[in-house]
Amino acid sequence: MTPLCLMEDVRKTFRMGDDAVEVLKGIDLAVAPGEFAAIMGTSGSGKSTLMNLIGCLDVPTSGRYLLAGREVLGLQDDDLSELRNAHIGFVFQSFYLLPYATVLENVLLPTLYRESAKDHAEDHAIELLRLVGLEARMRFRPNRLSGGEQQRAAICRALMNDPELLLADEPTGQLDSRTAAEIMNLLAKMNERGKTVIVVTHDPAIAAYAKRIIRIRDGVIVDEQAD
Amino acid sequence: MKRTLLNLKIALGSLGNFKLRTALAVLGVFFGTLSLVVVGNLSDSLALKTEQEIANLGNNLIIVVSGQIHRYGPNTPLISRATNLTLGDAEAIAISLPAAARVSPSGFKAFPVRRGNTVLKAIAVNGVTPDFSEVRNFEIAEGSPITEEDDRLQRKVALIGRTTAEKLFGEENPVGKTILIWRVPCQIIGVMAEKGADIAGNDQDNQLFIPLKTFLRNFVNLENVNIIYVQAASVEAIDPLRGEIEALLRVRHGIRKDMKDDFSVVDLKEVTALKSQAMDLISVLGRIAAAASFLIGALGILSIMILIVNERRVEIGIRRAVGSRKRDIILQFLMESSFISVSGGAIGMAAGLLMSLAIARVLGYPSSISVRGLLTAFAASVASGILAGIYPSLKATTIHPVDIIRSKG
Ligand SMILES: Nc1ncnc2c1ncn2[C@@H]1O[C@H](COP(=O)(O)OP(=O)(O)OP(=O)(O)O)[C@@H](O)[C@H]1O
Ligand SMILES: [Mg+2]
Repeated sequence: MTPLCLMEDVRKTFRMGDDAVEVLKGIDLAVAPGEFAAIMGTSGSGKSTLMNLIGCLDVPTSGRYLLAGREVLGLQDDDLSELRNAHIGFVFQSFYLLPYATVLENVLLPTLYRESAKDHAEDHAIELLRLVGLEARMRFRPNRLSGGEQQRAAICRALMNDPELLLADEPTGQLDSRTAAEIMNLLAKMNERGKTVIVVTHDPAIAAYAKRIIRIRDGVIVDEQAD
Repeated sequence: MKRTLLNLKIALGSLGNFKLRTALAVLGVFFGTLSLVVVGNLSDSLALKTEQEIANLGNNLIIVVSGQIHRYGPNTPLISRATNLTLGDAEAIAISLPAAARVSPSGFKAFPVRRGNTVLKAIAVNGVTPDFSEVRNFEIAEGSPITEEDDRLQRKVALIGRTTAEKLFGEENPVGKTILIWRVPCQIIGVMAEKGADIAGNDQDNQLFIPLKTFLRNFVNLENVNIIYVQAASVEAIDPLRGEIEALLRVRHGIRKDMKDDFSVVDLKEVTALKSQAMDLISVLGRIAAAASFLIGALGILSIMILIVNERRVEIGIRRAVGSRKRDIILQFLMESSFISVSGGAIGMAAGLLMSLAIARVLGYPSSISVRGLLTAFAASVASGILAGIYPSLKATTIHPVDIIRSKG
């Protein structure tokens, strides 16, 4: 099966003034459609940097990266936006819901930048909110929701454009363990429904939900294990 | 559409955090549009008023006065003591200049007027030709006009102005009565319709009109007239005709190239020029005030937008992450900044309309709505919003989702 994400010798160097820090030092990685992977590693090992590259929020300094068969390196900013919009859903540690919009409006956000915005986008959003049990709160502003509820809303937003790939960077970092389990169950459910899910975490209990664990240390993948 | 509404709602929510600043910026744009609309409408009102005043004097009217007039303005009487315009001049204009549709020479002088025991010391008595009422827009309310025959036979008949009639006759109908003008008994054949004050402020209803020949033979014993009123065939004909009249009269009066005219061709627009100058000054001041207000408004919007972009870094990062392009972000913030200015502009336009209608009513001007003024004001408010939004919206595009995620985890 052709991988959804294919990285070959991907490097990322950050430049700060005269200093250049190489954070990713040659990543080779293939993620097949339908996988549920966890990226683990100590703080500062480069997990988020890798995640940002996978999610096309940033581009590699060198190497090759194919997302859904498309070469990412050398793409224009607008093309990256389009790629993210169509293929990737993001879930962040801090939820990042817009405070002045309702939960429903937050979920609809990705459709605003979709050329072929569907007429029934709102129905789809409500359906997603029902799926995560937030239907009754969809007219609320995010600040009236608990952390777990906010993260569930954020997952709905990530799913809104029906992307193949769900990326979650420490999605449970601000949640208690019971709520964290809820969120991870939800992500697992999405994986069962066919989404490719990649989670960044340093918590082994969270990583345990994944079917594959990618360990990264000092900018290189040191160990791979699959259940 | 949905995106615009949602963005607007988010923007309003965010503006709520900067209520005072927003109010100040909106106020700046408000005053800017207000002054533009008021100035635009009042200039138009004044132009209308001037047109009405000129039309009131007579349609397409050119006035030739004997002697030089050195000063124009609302209070310059169109009177000169020089006596070098003749009936012959008037005839020459009528015969040789086709653009002159009607020519009505006129003489005038103040005389005492008496009826029974009532004596009016000095009433302006005008010697006029039969067509003066068409040329100068004087209507006869009652009775009959002065005819060619009245003029040819030098009949002692008079048309009386409303004010004079009231002074001499009170409620009585003057038509058919005889009055003594100077020492000549004249029969009143008609009463003029009310006309009010002229541009110079003189009561045009306090005068008498008698046939020109009667006036020249029996009252002043002269061949000269004070004024020749010429009605041009059309508005476009006015300016060329003025030149033709000047050239013709210079030849007839034997004026050499290096000599000054001994007559004046009055431009009615110049007569009303002083009022227009005052209005021009108001317009300029109003536009300066408008420009200053717009500048303040735009700077206010600029500062708010910078704050807003800063406050909404996370929002921008998330929008970029879910797929908005840079130009979507630019468009969003330009729309927000022009929304602020247009909302100020809309209130300013409404207030400006009301205010200019009120001012026109107080000044007794015809009220006029200047579409150009409204469009300018609207364009200026949109433009100030967009201009003020350019820098903040470009700044917004430098916000990268990666930086947001990194700073907040
Ligand atoms: N934009 C950047 N500019 C400079 N240095 C950066 C940038 N992004 C990341 N780094 C550096 O790269 C290294 C890896 O950062 P990254 O955020 O990928 O680590 P991480 O594994 O996600 O850590 P954590 O578990 O703490 O989130 C760090 O040393 C970080 O300071
Ligand atoms: Mg990280």
